Amino acid sequence: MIPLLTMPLLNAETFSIAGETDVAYAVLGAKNYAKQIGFTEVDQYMIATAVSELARNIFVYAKRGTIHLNALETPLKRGIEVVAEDFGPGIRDIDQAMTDSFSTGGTLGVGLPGTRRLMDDFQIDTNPDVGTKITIRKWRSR
Amino acid sequence: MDTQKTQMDNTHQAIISAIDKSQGTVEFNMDGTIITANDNFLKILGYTLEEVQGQHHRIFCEESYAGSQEYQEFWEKMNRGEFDSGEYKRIGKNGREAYIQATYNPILDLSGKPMKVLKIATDVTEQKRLDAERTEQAALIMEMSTPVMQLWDKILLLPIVGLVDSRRVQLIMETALQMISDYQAEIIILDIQGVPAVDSAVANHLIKVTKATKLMGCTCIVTGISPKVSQALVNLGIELGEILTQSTLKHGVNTALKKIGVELTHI
Repeated sequence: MIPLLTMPLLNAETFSIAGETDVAYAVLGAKNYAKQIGFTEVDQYMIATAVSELARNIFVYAKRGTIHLNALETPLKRGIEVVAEDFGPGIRDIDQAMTDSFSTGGTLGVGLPGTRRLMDDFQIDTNPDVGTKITIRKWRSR
Repeated sequence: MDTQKTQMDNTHQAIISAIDKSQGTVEFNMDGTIITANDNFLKILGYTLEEVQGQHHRIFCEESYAGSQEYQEFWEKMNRGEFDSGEYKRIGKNGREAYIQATYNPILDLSGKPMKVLKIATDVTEQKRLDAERTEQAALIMEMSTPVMQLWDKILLLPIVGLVDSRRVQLIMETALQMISDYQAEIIILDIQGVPAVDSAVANHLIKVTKATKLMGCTCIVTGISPKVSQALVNLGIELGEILTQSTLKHGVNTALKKIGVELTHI
């Protein structure tokens, strides 16, 4: 993804994830944030679902981490950026993790590839024993 | 050289004074007795300096902890010159409980032997209390929001509102199966309209619930799959397979009634 020069139309928000309740707070927060940016209800729901996937991954695999929400603005479009960051065990095989129906956690295994489909941009940086940082973006036309 | 040294001394002095102003600090001898403590620290636990000076660190600990192997090992660790940090429960004056976020830093003498321990602490009691309160409220909301109701003979309705996590699903599963058995239900309707986000974990849970109800000979209808939910599910790539779904609760109820041979007509 190309770094963007953005004008903040909304203050960034951060949610720390340490328990299942925190996942819910992040999801509701993301939905509200997307609404303020002007996303349609369908898009708000997709963004909330994507955040739910990432926040839950943090809780299940890394125990602790954060979800950052940023509002993006370019001359042509507005968008939302979600950064999910943890200092957990990292993802051993990204290609595998990005494959549908692959899971090491006993789940459906559609979380990461599904999140990519819900959003416009998807970037993952992971390092074994250092952590994982996933950045996703969704744009709306203005 | 001298200016450089003075500059460094000034910087060190500034750092020390900044810590002193904002954090609680205590110094211990290597046997755990208190040399001194600053006002911030004394305020956290409600003591005066005179009351703690010369006392052992264990006066801040719960008896069970102060007598434990773990506690002994903690001081052995300090005496090896190793640093420790974390969140600790401490007991203040008159037994009041406090939580601190603290680091214990052994300070070495010129020969490299630990000569005292500097502890830097922040009071996190209020934060801890708010966290506990929030968790408690969340649990309460969860318990309250799993009502299974009988809609008709042999038809049960379970509206799911709010966050679905593993604990809640367990509760939903248990309640639903018990009610199916109690009411000899043939159909259970799970309405998920009030779930803020149906992600893959929630879908996975729902699939499990429907499988379990099926094993009991009961048909499960999932309703509340609105356009936004269905789009998100398709994008996520979730296959609901054989699960009977309907967009609204109204449709679900109609389907359920038809299945048991009842038709609603206007009078």
